[in-house]
Amino acid sequence: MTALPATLPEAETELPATGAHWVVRTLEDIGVRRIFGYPGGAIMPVYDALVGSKLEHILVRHEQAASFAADAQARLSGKAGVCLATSGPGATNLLTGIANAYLDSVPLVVLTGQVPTGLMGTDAFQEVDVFGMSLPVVKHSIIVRTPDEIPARIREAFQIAEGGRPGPVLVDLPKDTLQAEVGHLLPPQSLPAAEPSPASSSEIDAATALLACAERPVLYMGGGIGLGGAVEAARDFMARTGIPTVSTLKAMGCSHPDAKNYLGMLGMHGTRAANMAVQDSDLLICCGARFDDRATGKPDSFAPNARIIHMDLDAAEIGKLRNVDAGIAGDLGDALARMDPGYLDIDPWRQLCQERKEEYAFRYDDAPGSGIFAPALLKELSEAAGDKFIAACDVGQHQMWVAQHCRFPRPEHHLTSAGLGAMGYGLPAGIGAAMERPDAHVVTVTGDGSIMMNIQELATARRYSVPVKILLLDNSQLGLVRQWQEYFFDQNFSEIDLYDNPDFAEVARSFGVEAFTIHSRAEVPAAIDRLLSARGPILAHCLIDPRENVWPLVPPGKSNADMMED
Amino acid sequence: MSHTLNIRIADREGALVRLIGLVERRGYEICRLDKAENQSGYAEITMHITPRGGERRIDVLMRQVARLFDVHAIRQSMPAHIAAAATAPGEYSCRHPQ
Repeated sequence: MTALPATLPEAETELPATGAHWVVRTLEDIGVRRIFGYPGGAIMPVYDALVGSKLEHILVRHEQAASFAADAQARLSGKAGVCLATSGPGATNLLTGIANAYLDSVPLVVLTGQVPTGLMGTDAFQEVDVFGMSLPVVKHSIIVRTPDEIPARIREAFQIAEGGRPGPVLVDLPKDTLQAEVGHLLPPQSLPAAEPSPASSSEIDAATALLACAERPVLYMGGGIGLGGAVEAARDFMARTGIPTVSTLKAMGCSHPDAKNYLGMLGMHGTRAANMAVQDSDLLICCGARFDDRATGKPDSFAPNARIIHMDLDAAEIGKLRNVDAGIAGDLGDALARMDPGYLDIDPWRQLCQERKEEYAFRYDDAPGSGIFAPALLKELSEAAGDKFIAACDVGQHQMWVAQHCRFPRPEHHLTSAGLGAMGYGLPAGIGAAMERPDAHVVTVTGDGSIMMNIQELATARRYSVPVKILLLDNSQLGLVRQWQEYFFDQNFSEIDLYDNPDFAEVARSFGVEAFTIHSRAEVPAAIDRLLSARGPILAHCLIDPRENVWPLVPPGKSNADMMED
Repeated sequence: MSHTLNIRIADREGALVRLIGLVERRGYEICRLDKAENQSGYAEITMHITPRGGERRIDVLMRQVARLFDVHAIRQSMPAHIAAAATAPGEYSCRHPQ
């Protein structure tokens, strides 16, 4: 996290300058290098001040993409991403990205222009109450009322966004405060300590005592481990205790993918070995997760015989959806390091989990026909890219296949809209990630439904020569909706047919992006080579069987014990 | 079961609406609300709330309120005979981490 000096930017010798200049200067002083945005009336003073600044401004083609790209940059860097838009439609277009960051606890600073103070509340042109509209999906939000407070409020926004459990912070900037000259800079408020506090010894002792007498413990890892910088501590805890371990969608990559007692993802599209272990457990150690319904299935049948240890930096998560036997609120890395149950006599349990892991492992060699088998393609792609593989997923079947079949060396290498499930995330997130990590193989994995939600960002990829690799799995359908209609709505297929999609390779080429199409399994190895060796943006359009489904599957409202298979 | 919460918030723009929105959104009906400004830039809120249904734990709501940046302290007030028998959730504050 960025350490922020308590003092204001140097001297006031450069005064007078406008509020807009102080917006830019404050961002520079904080150490921001890149912001994503789109200009418009109320925010124009900031765009005026941007000319000649040290900030790199990335012009997206839709404000939602600015929020998603900044989100991806934040997930990779651990520092707040910044996006910028004008009032009214510019601000409302950011809302989906703000909600995405809120539900996935991503540090994001959102700067919106606003109509002049005197016009606020009068239904002025391009006026919306974005402060009010965003209240349920921000960690905090601020309306600036005087130019003098601009630097202080922006610094506070960064500190709040990055401190504790991260989240989005919105700063609404009325145009008159941006245009007026700053007179006297106001100091920032004193803020709560940014460093997470350690858990209490009594909580640690209570949890350790439960663990020491468990016969079938399971570690249930969540996104908080990566966010809290606790990956090494979690891996060390796994190695020390040998506890069978499962992970949520957001925690993919917290465990080394080859770790012996790691059983994969739990939940609706989790592995059978993971779900069975959780269901059979007598102690579930939930670490940085929140008992999300996609992970638990029917809540009252989730891990029905397990005692619960719930560890989270955010005390408000503990006991929210499941009563706990021991709650640990505090820094996860510290808490995991302090939990030492000694020797655990659980060999039969480890062995049972291991046998199930082998018995129910995914198989790739028996797919019928000669068409492209998406799970195998994704597995081969991530293996070929190795530790440089970073996936920016869209939402749908392909998103679940990525989680099931790709290997992630670190959790931040798996960029996915987990809590919100926002189609359209993949391409802008891939752009933000590839700009942050141009050395990596950043692959946007998308579908023919999702890519159309932000396809205009091909122009952004082209303009900045972003080395993002787009893998478009095209089944000419909204595949995950179709799968649910097939199994849970009596095959009453409704509005899922995308038979009239454009030729995506032609579309990409018209944006100036290299593209090609493949149809058969035999073309996959060459396609992977071409994707990974491309230096600029490239799109691989892969036609897959529209009948392909995601397996296994826990039906909605059912227990995780009731997994369906093909 | 209804609850009475005493909440100290920074008396600044948006703080009250943020607090009310959270309580409503998390499944409680606000039956009565009183706001009193004090001398030091804070407002003391007293709120009588009732869960709308379903199982909601008041201590979870209190921690959700406590993590708001505008909130400086929250406690639940109970009649003495109930407080004596209950496992009181105590006072939470996001401003003064232990």
